[in-house]
Amino acid sequence: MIIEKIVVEDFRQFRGKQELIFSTLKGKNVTVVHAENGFGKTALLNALLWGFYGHEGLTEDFEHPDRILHEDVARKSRDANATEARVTILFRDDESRYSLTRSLSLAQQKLNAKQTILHLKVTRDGETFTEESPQRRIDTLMPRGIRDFLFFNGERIDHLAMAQNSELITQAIYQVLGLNLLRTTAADLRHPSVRGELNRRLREHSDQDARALIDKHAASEAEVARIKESIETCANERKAVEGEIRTIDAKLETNKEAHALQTERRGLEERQSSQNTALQELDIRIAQTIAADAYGVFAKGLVTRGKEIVQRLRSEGKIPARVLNSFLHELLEAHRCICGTGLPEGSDQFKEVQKLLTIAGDQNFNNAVGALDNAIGVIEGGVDRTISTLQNQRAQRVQLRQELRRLGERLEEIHEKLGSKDDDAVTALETKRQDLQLKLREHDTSFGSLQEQLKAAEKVRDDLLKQVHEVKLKEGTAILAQRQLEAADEAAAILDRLLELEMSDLREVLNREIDSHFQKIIDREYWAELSDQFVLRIKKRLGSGETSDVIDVAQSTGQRQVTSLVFIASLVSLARQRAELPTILKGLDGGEYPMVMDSPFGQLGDAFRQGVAKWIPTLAPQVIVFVSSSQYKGPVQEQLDEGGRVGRRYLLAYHGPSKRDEAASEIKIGTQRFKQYSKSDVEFTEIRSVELS
Amino acid sequence: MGESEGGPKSTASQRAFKQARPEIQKLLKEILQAERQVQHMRRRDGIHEDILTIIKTHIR
Repeated sequence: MIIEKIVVEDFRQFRGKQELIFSTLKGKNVTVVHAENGFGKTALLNALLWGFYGHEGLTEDFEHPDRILHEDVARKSRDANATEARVTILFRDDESRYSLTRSLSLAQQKLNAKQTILHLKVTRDGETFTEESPQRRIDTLMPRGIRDFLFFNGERIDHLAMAQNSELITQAIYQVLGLNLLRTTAADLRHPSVRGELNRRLREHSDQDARALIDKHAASEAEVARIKESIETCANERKAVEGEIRTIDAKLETNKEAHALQTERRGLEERQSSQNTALQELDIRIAQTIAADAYGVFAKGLVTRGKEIVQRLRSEGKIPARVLNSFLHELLEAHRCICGTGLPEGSDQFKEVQKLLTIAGDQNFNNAVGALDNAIGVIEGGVDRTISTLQNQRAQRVQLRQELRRLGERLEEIHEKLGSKDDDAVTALETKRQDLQLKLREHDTSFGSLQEQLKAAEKVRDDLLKQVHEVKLKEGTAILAQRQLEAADEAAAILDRLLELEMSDLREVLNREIDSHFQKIIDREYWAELSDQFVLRIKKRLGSGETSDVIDVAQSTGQRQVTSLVFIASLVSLARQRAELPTILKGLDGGEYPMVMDSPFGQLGDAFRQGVAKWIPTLAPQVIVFVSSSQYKGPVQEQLDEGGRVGRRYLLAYHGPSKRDEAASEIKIGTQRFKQYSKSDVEFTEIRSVELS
Repeated sequence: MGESEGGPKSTASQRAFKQARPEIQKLLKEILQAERQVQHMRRRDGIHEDILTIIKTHIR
């Protein structure tokens, strides 16, 4: 999909009818929209989202989503039915061109702003027609699940690279790569209207014993569902507590007395979280090393003994054999030597050849000893490597634990200091924070124990299910119902397995893509990858050669933002190649998507800004970037302007009674200056095309 | 399902699918086809009934 144009009419602060044409040139695929904070960047991003998805598409930071119509226009309206906000988007996809219009009248806004009117016209092969199910068509072209990855605020995407958000990563992969079909189908097969119905029929036609077993299985399923619900509740409660802690932290950070300590604590806690994850992953790697290679260390005695046997056989001349017994048997059976002499049975010559059998060897034996000798060599060589790898990993573990201890101690000190401040507000906040931290710990304990309960309950359920499938039934209808139920269960289990395998294959492909993007921005000694648990990580190699090991690099907010950006770019790129990806699902079309980014340079330091700015044009076939003047100046401007990839440029000029202090009245783009603020009693934003000379 | 199912360049999931009983393979193909028809719809009325019918038709 390529977005060609947006026309906004009385949508939020965009008064009247205004338009913005996006660059569609392949070589100049970037459209830059310059705007200071508060001048309408978020509103413009939301105009696009509202156009495509209506109220549901609006971002969380879009305030008052029930007030879509320009406030002054709404206030002065004399006919609430005739006054409306409207967004028109022209876009193309494959060979078709689309024109969508979404509108909301003032009358409807007062009743329910979520109810909008959407029209979609499609032009294909010279013919234009109105789409009967416009929203469905749009959802097919750009599924809702991926919109958050195509339209986003760059300052708010760093959460993707946090360990606790791996589920979001998995969801994104499902969505973009079409795997949701497998997951939804498995869920539908297990739905009460499908599995439940088949189960009900089986129960109805079964004898008493089978019925009791079915009921037992149903109870076990209910138990699994109950535990899962408790896990969800626990996770939600934990999130709420985390939210409360964040609120307290924000208050402490704005308090003059607590500011410095709280800021330090925020950094330390981020580090603590990433190092804890690194420790967990290191433990997994240590376990993997032990499982895969440590047998060699414990098999040292066996290896020595094997070597002695092989050496003895060599010294005895048994390997390699000087003559093969199969060859001698052939001569004796043919009663003729290779020199032509006859070997009649019982003759001296026959006996001489027969005697040779005592020193002859067997070819299979030769091969087996050769293979054993080789294996012994491999195990012996591997032992030193394994010991060295384990030593490295252990050293890293010690280092991580030491750092975590230091972090913990410093955090404790900060807590002590804040808790004993003379300021009552600070101590009260700190006490509350401590209570909430304890609550978090309680939730973690409950969560762990619920996970264990779930594992046990699932085992009971699976065992009972097996028994239900195997129970011997007499009645024909019952036997058929049992077969159908078993087929539904088998089909759902296969889909689970396929999904798991597809994800594992895709993770590899995605990792290659992630790393190739990452290398364009960041130092060569680092690389990025998705871990087995679908956590985005930056990695670094320690040491060299066979004894080197890989460690996780703790990420700052800026690095997480880059990693998340890289992940999104990789997904978009894979979506484009989707049709060629090795997958079990056939008929997946490659999808070209634009990327619309609000403030992608927000949290980045200069070093990253330059890399990201250079790389942004290659992210997607079409890139639309909203930037403030402070984000644009310096390396970003140099890279984007010198690269010559900016096809179109706009400026959001704000008219209002006052502006934020930090926003200048003029903006400098290139060497030119443009007015971006005008004093006005009525508040509105004007979209201006910028031509650089 | 994929063109190269079970072939030399097949993926792990294609091979896993091939290992399923032919009856289940056929069943899955039909159910997935029905799911595909409704995958982008917000209301998916009727899909459960459709799946039940497919199961009852194939497993007899």
